[in-house]
Amino acid sequence: MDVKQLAAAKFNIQRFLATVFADEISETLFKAMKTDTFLRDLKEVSETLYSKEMARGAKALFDFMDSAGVDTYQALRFEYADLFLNAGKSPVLPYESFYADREPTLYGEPLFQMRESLRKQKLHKDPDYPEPEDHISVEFDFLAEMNRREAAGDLSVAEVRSDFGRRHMAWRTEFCAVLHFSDQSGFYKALAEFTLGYLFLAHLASVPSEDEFPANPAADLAAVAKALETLPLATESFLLKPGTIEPAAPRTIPTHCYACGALCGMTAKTKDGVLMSTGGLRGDIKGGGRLCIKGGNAKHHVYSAYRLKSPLIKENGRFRKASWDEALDKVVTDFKAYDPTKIGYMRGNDFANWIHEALFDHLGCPKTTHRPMCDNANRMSNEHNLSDKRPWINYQEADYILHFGMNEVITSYGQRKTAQLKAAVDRGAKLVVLDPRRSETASLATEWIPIKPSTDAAVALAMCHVIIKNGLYDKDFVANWTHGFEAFKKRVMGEDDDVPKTPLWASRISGVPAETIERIALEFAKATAKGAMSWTGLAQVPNGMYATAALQALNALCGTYDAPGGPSLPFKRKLKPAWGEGQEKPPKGNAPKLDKLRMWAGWAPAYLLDDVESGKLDGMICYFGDPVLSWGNQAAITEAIEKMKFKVCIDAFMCDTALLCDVVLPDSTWLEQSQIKPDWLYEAQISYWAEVVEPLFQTKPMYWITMELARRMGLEKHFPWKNIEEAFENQLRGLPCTLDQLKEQGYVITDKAAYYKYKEWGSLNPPDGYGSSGNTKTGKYNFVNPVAEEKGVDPLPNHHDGPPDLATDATYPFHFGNFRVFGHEHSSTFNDFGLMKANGSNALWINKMDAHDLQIEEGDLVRLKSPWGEVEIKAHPTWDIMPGILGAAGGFGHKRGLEGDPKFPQFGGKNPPGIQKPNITEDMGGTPLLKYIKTRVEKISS
Amino acid sequence: MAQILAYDPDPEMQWEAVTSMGHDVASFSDAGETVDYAQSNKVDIALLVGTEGVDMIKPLREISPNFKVVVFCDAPEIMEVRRALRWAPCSVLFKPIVKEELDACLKRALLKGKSTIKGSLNL
Repeated sequence: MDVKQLAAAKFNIQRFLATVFADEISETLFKAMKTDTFLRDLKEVSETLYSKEMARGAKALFDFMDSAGVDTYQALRFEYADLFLNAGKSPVLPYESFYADREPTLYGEPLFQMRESLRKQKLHKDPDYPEPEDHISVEFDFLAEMNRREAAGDLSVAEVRSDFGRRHMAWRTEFCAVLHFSDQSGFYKALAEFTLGYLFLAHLASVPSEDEFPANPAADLAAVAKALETLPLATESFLLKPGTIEPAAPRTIPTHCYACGALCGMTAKTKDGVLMSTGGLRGDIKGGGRLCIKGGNAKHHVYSAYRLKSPLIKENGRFRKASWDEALDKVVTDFKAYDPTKIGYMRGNDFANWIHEALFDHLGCPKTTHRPMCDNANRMSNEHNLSDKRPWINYQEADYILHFGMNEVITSYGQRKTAQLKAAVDRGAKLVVLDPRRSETASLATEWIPIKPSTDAAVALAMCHVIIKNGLYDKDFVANWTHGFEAFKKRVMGEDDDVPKTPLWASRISGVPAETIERIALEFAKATAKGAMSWTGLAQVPNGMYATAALQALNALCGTYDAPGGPSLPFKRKLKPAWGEGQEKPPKGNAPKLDKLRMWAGWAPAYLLDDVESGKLDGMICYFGDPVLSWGNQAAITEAIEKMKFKVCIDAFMCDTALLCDVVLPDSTWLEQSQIKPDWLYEAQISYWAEVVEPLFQTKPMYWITMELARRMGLEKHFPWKNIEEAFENQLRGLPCTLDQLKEQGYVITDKAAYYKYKEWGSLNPPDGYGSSGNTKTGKYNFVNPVAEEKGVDPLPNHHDGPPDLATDATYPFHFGNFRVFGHEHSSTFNDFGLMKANGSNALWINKMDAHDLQIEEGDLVRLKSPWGEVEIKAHPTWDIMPGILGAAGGFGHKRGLEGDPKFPQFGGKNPPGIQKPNITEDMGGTPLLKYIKTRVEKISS
Repeated sequence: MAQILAYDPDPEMQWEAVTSMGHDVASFSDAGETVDYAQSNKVDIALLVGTEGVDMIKPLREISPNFKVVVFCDAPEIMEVRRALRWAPCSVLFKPIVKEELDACLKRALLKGKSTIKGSLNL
C-alpha cells in the first residue's frame, strides 16, 4: 500500500472519529450505521483484522449498533448531554488541556499549540464550532485534513501529520479510558474501544517497518476505512476553515471581580483572547490593588471543564441538547400556560439586574434574591434604624473594634478593608470577636469571646446597660442624632419590662462571663476611635433583628457613625435608568408577596415547600443560585421543586437545582459579560465589569437571554437597546464619569471619603442622587424602630429565646451552625479547580471535650442528625469551637461538577444545613436559621 | 540527561531509543530487582511496560509518593489504561517506543520538578 492509499484510509477513519465526537450523532449517521451494508462490513472487519485491539473496537461497535433498537437514537442524545455537555455525573472532558495535567481547567497550553499548528497549515477553527481548538474532534479533523492533502498528492504534509499525531496521541488514549469509564449507553464505550484500537494501529503504522511484527497495520487500517466508506461523512474538513488567523494582541483589562459580593477591582490579562491571569486593580476602593484567592482563581472559574455549554431540555427524566431557539420558545410557551403571578423569579446575583428584573417585574412574577436567605434580619434593623444594611468600619483609624457574629477576614467584602483590619491589629488596635467559633477573624483578634448562638442581643444590651449606667455615652450625638433614647434607656434599665439588662442577666443567657461583658463595655466606651459591627451570625438565628439593633445601639450611644475608626455611612451614586429618551421601561405587574413575616413581606425562600403546596407557586425561573443547597431543608426544597409544573434554570454550571429543572439555559460567567455599578467603601465610585473574554461554547449573557425572552413575549419595545453599551450610556447620564473612562480605568471615584458626612447632609440619610440600602425616617439613628412601630412589632431591642422546638434538648444536645471559608463563595465556586485544590471538602467541627465524650477522633465518619434529616460527614475535633456547638463550612454537597465527578474522589463535601427544620425562618425578615439547628452526633466509623 | 529506570517483563526489550536520547537507563525485567534498584539509586523517572509495569507503580510510590512513571502498552486494553490512570502516570504510551513522543513526554514530566506529578483519575 502506498502512502497515498494509507493516508486516504486514515482520512476516512479520522473523519469518522471527528464526526462522532464533534456533536450529538446525527440521525442520518445513526441510520447509516444501522444499515445491513455497514453492519455486514463492520462485522467482517472485526473478524478479519489482524490487530486484535482494532478488531475488539470494531466488534464492540458492531455489537452495539446491531442490537440498537428504536429508542437507541434518543438514548444516545441523552448520553451525549451527560458525557459531553456536563449534564451527567462523569463528563468525559474531550480537551487536550484537561489531559495535559489531568486538571479540569480548559484553555491551557495545548490550546495555543493547536492554534499554532493550524496557523502553520493556513487553517483556523470554524468560528461557528463552539468548542475550543484542542477539542478531540478538531484534532481528529486536523489530522484528517493532513491525510486528505497527503492522499491528494501533497506529500509535504506527511511530516506535519506524523509529528502532530505523535505529540497529541497520548491524551487521546486517556480520553478513550475516560469515555469507556463514563459511558452508560454502551455506544460510547464501543467508540472508546474503536478509537483506542485505531490509535494503536496508527501508531504501529507510523513506526519503521522492521518494528512491525508480524503483520502490516496499513492493511488493517485500509480494511477499517473501507468499512466506514458507506457512512455519510464529510469529504472536506468540517470543523476547520482555510486562512490564517493571527493571534490577538495581549491585553491588560481593568475590570472587577464578581466571585463574591465584595466586588474588588481586578486586572485581567489575556493572550490571544484567552484569560491568562487576574490580579488586583490599583486605586480601586474595594480591593485597593488586592485580590483574594477567589478572584485570583477566576481563570479556573471561566475555563472550568464543568461549564454548561448548550441549552438543555429534559425528556423522560434526562437532558438532551437543544438549540437556543427551541429552548427559549419552550420556556415562553410553557410560561404562558401558567398564571405568571405563580411563577417565581429567583435571581441569586444582581449582575445587570436592572434588565432581567424589569422583565419579570412586568410579568408579575414574585421575585426573590439572595437577600432573604442571607441577612434580612440584620436589615430589618439597620435599614430602618439607620440608612444602610452594613456601614463598614473605618479600620484605618480604629483603636477598638467589636465584631459580633461576623468573620471579616474570610467574608471579606473588600480586600482593602480586610488589609486595613489586619494592619489595625498589627499597630495595636484591639479587636474583640464574639462568636461561638474561633473563626479566622477571632484567631486574629486580641480577644475571642465564645458566645451561645442567638444570645448576642443580651450581651450587646448589657454593654449598653454598663455604658448608660456609667454615663459614658456620647450625650451630644444621642441628643442631636438619635431618636427614642429615653425609651431605649428604659428597656435597657428594665424600667419597661422589669428586666434590667445587666451583665449578670446577659451572662446567664449567653455564657459570656458578666465581668467580661462589663469590661469590654467600658473598654469600648472609653476608646477614642471605635466601631461595632455584625453580620449573618446575628441574622441566621431566631433573634436576628433585635440582636442587630442592640449591637448598633452601641455605635449610636457612642456616636461612632462617620467618626474616625467608626462605621462609615454609605453614599453610593445612583445610576440613571437604562431607558433613555423615547425608550419605555415596562410597567410593573402585580407580583404578589408570597410570605408575610412580621417586618417584611416577599418571597422568603425557606418556605418554598409551603408556598408550592399551598398553591402560591406553580413554577420557578432560577437565575444563578442553587436553592437546593442553600434555601433550607434540602429534602423539602427538592420536593418543592419536583412538585412545580414549570421550572427553568439559568446558570453557568449544572447545580443541584438545575438538575431538577425542565429547561437549563447556559449563562456566561461574569468575565464574559459587562455591567456598570455604583459602589462604596469610605469613598464612592462607579465600577466597570468588562467582557474580558467572549462567551464560551454556546453560553449567553443574562441580558441577551432576557431580551430574547422579551422578544418572544412581544415585549421587544421595552428592551430597545442596540447593544448593552447603549444602556450603560443611559445609566451614566449626568454622572461625573463616562463609559470610556470606565473602560480605560475600570472605575471612576466620584466622591472622596469624609468624616461626619451626616453633619453636612443634615441627616444620616445620604442626599439626593446618592443611594444606600436603607432609610431612617427620622434622619437620625432610631433606637426605636419606626417601621416596627407601624407594624405593631416591639420596636425596641431585647433578648428573645428561639422557638421551643428549636432549642437543644437531651436528644439533640448540640446547636449546629454553618460558616463560610475564604476559598468559596456560597455554593457557586465548587467547579473552580484552583479553589477546590485549596478547599475540596468540609468537616464537622466539634469541641474536643464533646468529641472525647463521644469517642470521636479526627477524620472519623459521623452522622449528624436533626429531627428533620441527617448527613454523614467526617469529624474535626478542635478547641476552636464552643462545647455544645457544631459547625461546618457551607456550600458543599453538589451532585455534579468536581464534587460529584467520580474521577476525582478526593473532592466533595456535605451540606449539613440541609437538615434544618423545613418551612421556618426567623420571624422578622424570613432569614433561614442556618446557624441554629439542633442536632446530635453519632460516630459511624473510624 | 535523566536517570531512567526501565522495566519490561520481556527480557528481550531493548532501550536504545532512550539511551540514544542521552539518558542513563538502568533496565530490568525482574520486578524485585527493579524495586531494589529504585530504593538505592537516584531515579528521575521510570518507564514501565505492560500490566506488570502498572503493578510496579505501587511499590515505587511507596519509595516516593511522587515517583514519576511513564506506562507503555504493547497490546493496549482499555481496562489496563483505566487502571494505569488511577496511579497518576506522566503518560500512557504505546510500544514500540517513538523517540519524539517519549522525548516530549519526558521533557514535560521532568520540567515540572521532582515533587510534582500529574493528577490521577479514578477510572
